[in-house]
Amino acid sequence: VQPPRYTFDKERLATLEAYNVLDTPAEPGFDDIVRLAALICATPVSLVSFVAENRQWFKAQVGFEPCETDLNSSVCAHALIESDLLIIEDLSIDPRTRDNPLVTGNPHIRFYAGAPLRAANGAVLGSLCVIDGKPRPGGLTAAQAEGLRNLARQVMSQLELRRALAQRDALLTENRSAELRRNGLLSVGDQLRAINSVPEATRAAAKIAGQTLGLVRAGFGRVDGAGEFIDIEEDWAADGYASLAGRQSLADHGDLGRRLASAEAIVVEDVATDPATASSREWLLRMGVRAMANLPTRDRGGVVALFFAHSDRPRVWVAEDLAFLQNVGDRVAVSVARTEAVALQRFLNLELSHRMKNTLAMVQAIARQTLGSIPDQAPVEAFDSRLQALSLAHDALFKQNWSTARLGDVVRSVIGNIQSIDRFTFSGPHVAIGPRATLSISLLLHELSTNALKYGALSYTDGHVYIDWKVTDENLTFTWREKGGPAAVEPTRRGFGSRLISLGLVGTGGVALRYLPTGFEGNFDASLSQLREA
Amino acid sequence: LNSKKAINRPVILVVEDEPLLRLNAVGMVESAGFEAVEAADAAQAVAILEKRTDIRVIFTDIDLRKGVDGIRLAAIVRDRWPPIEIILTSGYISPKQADLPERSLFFSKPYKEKEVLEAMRKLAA
Repeated sequence: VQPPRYTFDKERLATLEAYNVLDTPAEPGFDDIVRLAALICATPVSLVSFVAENRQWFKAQVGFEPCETDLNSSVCAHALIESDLLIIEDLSIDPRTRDNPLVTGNPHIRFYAGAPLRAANGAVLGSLCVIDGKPRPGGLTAAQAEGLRNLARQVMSQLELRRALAQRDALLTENRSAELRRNGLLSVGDQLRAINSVPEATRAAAKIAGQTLGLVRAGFGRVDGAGEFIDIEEDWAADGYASLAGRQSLADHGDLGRRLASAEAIVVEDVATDPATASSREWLLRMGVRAMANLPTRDRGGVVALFFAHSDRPRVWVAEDLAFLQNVGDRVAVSVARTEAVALQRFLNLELSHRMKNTLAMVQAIARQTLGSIPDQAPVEAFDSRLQALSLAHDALFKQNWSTARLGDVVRSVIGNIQSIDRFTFSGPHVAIGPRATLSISLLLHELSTNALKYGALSYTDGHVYIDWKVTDENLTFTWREKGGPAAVEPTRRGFGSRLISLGLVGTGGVALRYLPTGFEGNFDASLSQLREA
Repeated sequence: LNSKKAINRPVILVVEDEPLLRLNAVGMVESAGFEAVEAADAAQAVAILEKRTDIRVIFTDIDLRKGVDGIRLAAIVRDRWPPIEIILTSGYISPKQADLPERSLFFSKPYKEKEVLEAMRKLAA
C-alpha cells in the first residue's frame, strides 16, 4: 500500500521544512502532550509524528522506541488526507494497514487514532496519534476524540511558538551583529584618523574587521602594475594563523590570481568545494582559509587594491558582512592614499628646499668667484649676507610646507643670524604670513639688523633692540626700537639698504622712520591680507 | 721661503661633489691661509686620507651623489682617523645632532664663509 499522493505534495513538504523541527532534540512541551494524549485515550503509545518525504519522524513519543520509521510503516501518512480524526479500530483488517510491518510483525499494533497536525496555510504536517496493541471496537469516546483534537492544536501552537522564538533569537543575533559592525566601522574610522603610518593603519583596520566578523585573517593589499604580484600590507591574523604580509606572487594562484589582479570581487563560501578556488585549494586550506571574501576597493591610476577576509570554517557571507568589509576596505584605501600623499609631499618639500638652498649656494659661489678680485670686498660681504637672509626665509617657509611662515620664526632666524639673539627683545601674537611677505620681511629685518650692528644700538656693548608687533583691525603694526646706542642720524646717501627698508613689510611702503637721540625707531604697517598673499 | 711656509700651513680636505661649490670652497680655504686638498666623493676622500697624514680638518658636503654620504664619511673619519676635525655642510634642513659624529660642526648651505673659516681656524689651531 502506497502512502497517499498528498504525502509528497511540494507545498506540504516546504511548510514542514520551514518549521525546522525534524531531527531536533526532545522538548518538554511536546513530551507533555503525548503523555496527556495517552492518558486521555487510555493507550500505551502516543506519538507526535511528522511525515517527511521519505520517513516519519517523532518529535515526542511515549511507549514507542524508534525515533523514526520509513513511510512503509507509517499509519500517520494516511491521516494526512483526513479532514478530521483517522480512527482505525483494527489495523489488521483495514486494507490500508493490514500489510504494515508494524502490524504484521513487532510490536503488532492493532488500534490507531490520529488527529492531523494542520498548519495555518492548510498543509498537514503529520499527526498526533494514540496506538494500542489491542483492537478497540467503537474507537474513541466522544470526549477522547475531542481531547485528541485539542491536543493536536496544542502541538501546532508549540510548533508556532518554537518558530517564533527561533525567529526572535535570529533577529537578536542579527541586531547584535549589526551593532558589532556599526561599532567596528566607528572604531576603524577613529583608528585611521589617529594613525598616520600605512602599516599601523592597515593592521589596525584589519584587526577590527577580523574580530568583528569572527575571522582568522584580514588585510589590505595592492596589485602591482603588471598584475604579477600582490603587495599585502601589515595584516591581522588570529593566534596560530600566519600573516600574509609581504609580496605574494599571483602567478602561483592561476585563475584565482588572474581574477584578483583584475579587481574582481571573489566571495567563496567553502574553499573545499568552490571550483573558483580549485587552483589554489591546497595552499588556501594549508593557510587555514576555508571561506574568503576579496573585495576590490578604489582603483586609482591602474592600481588595484583589495581588502581580504579569511574564515577558518565554511561561511555564508551575508550582504551586510560584505558591505561592512567593503566599507572598511574603502576607508583603508583612502587612509593609505592620504598617508602616502602626505609622505610624498614632505619628500617633495625637502627636495625643493634642498635644491633651493643648493642653488643659492651656487649663486653665492659665482658671486664670490666673479667679484673676488675687487679690492673693496664690503659690497660682496653685503651680498652674501642678504643671500643668507633669503635662505633663512626659505627655511621658515619650509617648516609650514611652503604655504605660510610664522612671523616669530622669521624674526628669530633672521636677527639671530646677524647678532646674538639676546641683544634683542621681541614679542607679538602668532601671525601666519605668506611666502612673499616672508621673503620681503626677511630682507627688511636683515637690513635693520646690519644697520643696528654697524651704526646703531648693537654697535655699543650695552645697546639693545626692542621688536614688537600687534594686530588691530586686520592690520599689522611692526615696531623696531633701538636703545642704549648712539644718537641716530638720518643717512645722507640712499643706498640699496635704505631703499629695501623703505619698501616696508610687503614692498608697498607703510613705513615711518624716526632718527632720535635715543636711537633709531621704525614703524612698519601692512594689512593682514597683503601679508598672507601667496 | 715659499715652500717652507707651505709646509707649516694647516691642511684642510674639502669634499664636495658640485665642482663650482668645490672650487669656491677651495678658494675660500686657501685665501684664509690654509692648504686645501680636494675630493669629489667619499672614496676619493678616503684614498687621500690613507696617503696623507697631515690633514687637520675635513670639510665635507653631506649630499654626495656618488658612494656613501658625508655623514657616513664623517663616521669613517672619526673611526679611522680620530684626531681629524670634522665640519659638515648641506642644503638640507639641519640634520639631527644624533646623526652627526661627536666633535663635529654643521653649517647650512649657503653658509657664511666667515663663520666656517672661523671654525676651521679654531679646529686647526
